[in-house]
Amino acid sequence: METAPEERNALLELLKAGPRSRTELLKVSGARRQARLAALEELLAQGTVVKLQRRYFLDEPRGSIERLIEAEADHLEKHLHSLPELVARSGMKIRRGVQDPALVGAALDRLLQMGQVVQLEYNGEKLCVHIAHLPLVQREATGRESPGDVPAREESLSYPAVYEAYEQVRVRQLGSAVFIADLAGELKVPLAKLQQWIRQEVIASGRGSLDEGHWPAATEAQREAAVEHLGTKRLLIRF
Amino acid sequence: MNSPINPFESAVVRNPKECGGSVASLNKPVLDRITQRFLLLTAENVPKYLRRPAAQLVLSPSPGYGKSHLIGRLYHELGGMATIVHQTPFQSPALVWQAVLNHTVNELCSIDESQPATGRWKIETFANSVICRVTSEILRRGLLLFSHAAEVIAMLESGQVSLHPGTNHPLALTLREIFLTAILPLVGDEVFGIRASRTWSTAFFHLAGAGREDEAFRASVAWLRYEPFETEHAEAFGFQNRVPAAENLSQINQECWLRLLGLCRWSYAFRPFLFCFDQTEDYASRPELAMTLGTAIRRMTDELPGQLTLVTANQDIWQSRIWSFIDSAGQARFDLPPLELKGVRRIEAREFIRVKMHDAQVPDELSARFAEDPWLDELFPGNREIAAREFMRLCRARWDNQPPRPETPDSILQRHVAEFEATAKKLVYDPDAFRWLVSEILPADGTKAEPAGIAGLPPYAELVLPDPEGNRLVFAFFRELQHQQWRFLVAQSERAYDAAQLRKLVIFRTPEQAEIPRPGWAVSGPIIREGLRKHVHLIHLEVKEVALLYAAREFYLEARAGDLPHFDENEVRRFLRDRLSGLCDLTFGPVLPPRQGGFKAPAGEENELDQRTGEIVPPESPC
Repeated sequence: METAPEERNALLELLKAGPRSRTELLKVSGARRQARLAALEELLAQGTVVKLQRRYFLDEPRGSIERLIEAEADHLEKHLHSLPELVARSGMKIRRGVQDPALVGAALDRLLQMGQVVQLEYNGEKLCVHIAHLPLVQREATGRESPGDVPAREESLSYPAVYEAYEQVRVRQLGSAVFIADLAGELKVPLAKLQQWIRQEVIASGRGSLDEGHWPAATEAQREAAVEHLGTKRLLIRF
Repeated sequence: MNSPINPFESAVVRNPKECGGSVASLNKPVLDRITQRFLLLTAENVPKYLRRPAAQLVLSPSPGYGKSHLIGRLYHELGGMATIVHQTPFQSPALVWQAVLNHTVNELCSIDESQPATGRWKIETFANSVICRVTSEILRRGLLLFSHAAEVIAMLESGQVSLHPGTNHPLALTLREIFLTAILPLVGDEVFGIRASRTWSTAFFHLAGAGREDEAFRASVAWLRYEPFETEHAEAFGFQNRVPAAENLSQINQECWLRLLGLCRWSYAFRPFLFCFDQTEDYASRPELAMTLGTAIRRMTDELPGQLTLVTANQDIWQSRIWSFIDSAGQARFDLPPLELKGVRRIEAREFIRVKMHDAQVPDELSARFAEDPWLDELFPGNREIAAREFMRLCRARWDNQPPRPETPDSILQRHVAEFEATAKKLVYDPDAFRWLVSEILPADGTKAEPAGIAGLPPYAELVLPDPEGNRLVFAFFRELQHQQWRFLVAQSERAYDAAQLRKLVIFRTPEQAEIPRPGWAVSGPIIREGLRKHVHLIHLEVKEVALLYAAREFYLEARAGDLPHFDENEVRRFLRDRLSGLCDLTFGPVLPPRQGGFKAPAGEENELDQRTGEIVPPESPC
């Protein structure tokens, strides 16, 4: 169906000023309402407009919403990391972790997808917690039984397991960048296995960052654990 | 996008004051936190403990996250509210306060960026403010009767009265006329709780009103640095001439500390200090440097009012080679956890590119085309952060459409030489550059410069290094001495030579330093001249040689800080040894008498040094 260009333009003008609710977008006289609705549906189908939690966002330039969600996910991750408790998905507390409350759901879904946050259900209510506050769940996920001597793991590495080990190393030092060698030691896995995981999860998927570190000051073991990325060897990892 | 100008060319911030544009959101929390803590220094109704804040540590996960850029942003952010002192690494644990004080005075003796049109130095505005405050205090106490005293006090405290030469404000004219004779005697030994207020006021009076070319101004700057100046100047300008014939290093260090303490105490009349310790990786080279840094931070935090100390460092080297050498009391003086610099993220990448292109005056539409989404999406999957310098490198390669070619050591050195030669002010005597030469460049394999802890050495002796025959070369580093001190120095050097304690005492001199002996030293001059032919070797460097040496040190510090990942610091040291071999030969060679008009090395050695310098510095065109 061909939509009226003036309605499409009117919608784009409204959305340029910021996200809007459906009511705000369709607030026109009865005769124009159908044409406005058709224009909105067409914009949604084209991906020019994105609907998130009952609000409509203009995705121009394309990908800007995705980046907005990434930024909000980052804020939310820090917020949840600072709360050692279960937080209701639909509550006010979780909304304080984002700048635009309309993006809280999308940002949370991103964190759930990345394994940085887990979601539980109790009495029909969805509750979230940062994995840093769930040592028992992590142990179960990673198969660790005790902090004593544990043989090198044969099973594949998971994000929660690596993240837990990373946190363990991080709290013993200043700053957030951890030597890959120290992380492998903490995980008690063969170096090659961790390096493979890093290539897949950090380099390809961006679930963390790699840093060169200070090569002249590094030990042989630290250099051996380095992973090459963007043409240089990286000694350090951060999440 | 081939173009002669690559907007991403300069990836290392060498002078924080010239750091270029910034992405506002990048590391904003770090900037905000430091600014907030600094502003507490001048906030009213703030508890006293907050005015002696703990030192602020800022860690970078790796080199290239913008430590020096952060200091540059602080210059812009705090501008006229702070005196920001960029502290490059000190080399002598025994004279740490001299190094900190010298950087502080250097900063004060630079154009006040908040009033660029006036061309005034910060120290002139600072001194003017102190003189006005001191005078208003005298009037307020009723020690001097002035008609309309209340109005005069208000005027003095309004900051509108300038003693600068050429201003004709009636009150300024009166002050210039009566300050030394009528007001100074009333100051007493302590005003506003600051010791030796009268001497400080004398120095500030000359600094505020004499003009930079005046001998009184220069003498006052020397006094601030705790450097001796001519006896007749001391008396003529109202300073007490109490500099002893010889002092040990700890005395000098302590006196420099007192000057620094005084400047911080007086800073309430001007602006608080923000001391920024950058390139801290150099302190990892020797445990005693790291320990001294810790002790210095502790003392600054505990005892210096009106200042915040900022330390920037690369995380892994700080943790493994510096932090562990700082005792627990020193560690407790840092505000922990440290702040941490972040890399560029997807949401900041486009802005980052726009800012750099804007600095390079590239049209906005070109920057939009350059920052294509698919390219940025590929670089920044998920939550990835990339260090600012690394992102610059990737942008540089994209702009040139080829991987960046690493600079050669020669081109890096040449670039630094050009930077130093372009700024004459940077070529003044810097004792730490010469200490670096003696500690890092002169020692042959298997030898090491040691602190001069042996009895019987001449005064000011600081480092000892064996020459190839195993004889002891002794080094002293000072800007100026009085004639009595020179006499004592040459006499003591002769005694040390006779007692086989040294082969010679080496002292480096830069072009702006006075000829020794000075023409006016009628009695001491011949004695000093004779001494300088025997066992005291003054090595006078020309401007080009100073630029080469200072550039070499800058290159070395960058390599050590990890800013030049293609070079190992040992490789750089070997390269610089080769480039400075002429100067090394002069230092190890025989004592050469100083000549009028500057130092002249024997033909062979001079040619060698010239040749070395000529390799990297083209000869000056005659003009």
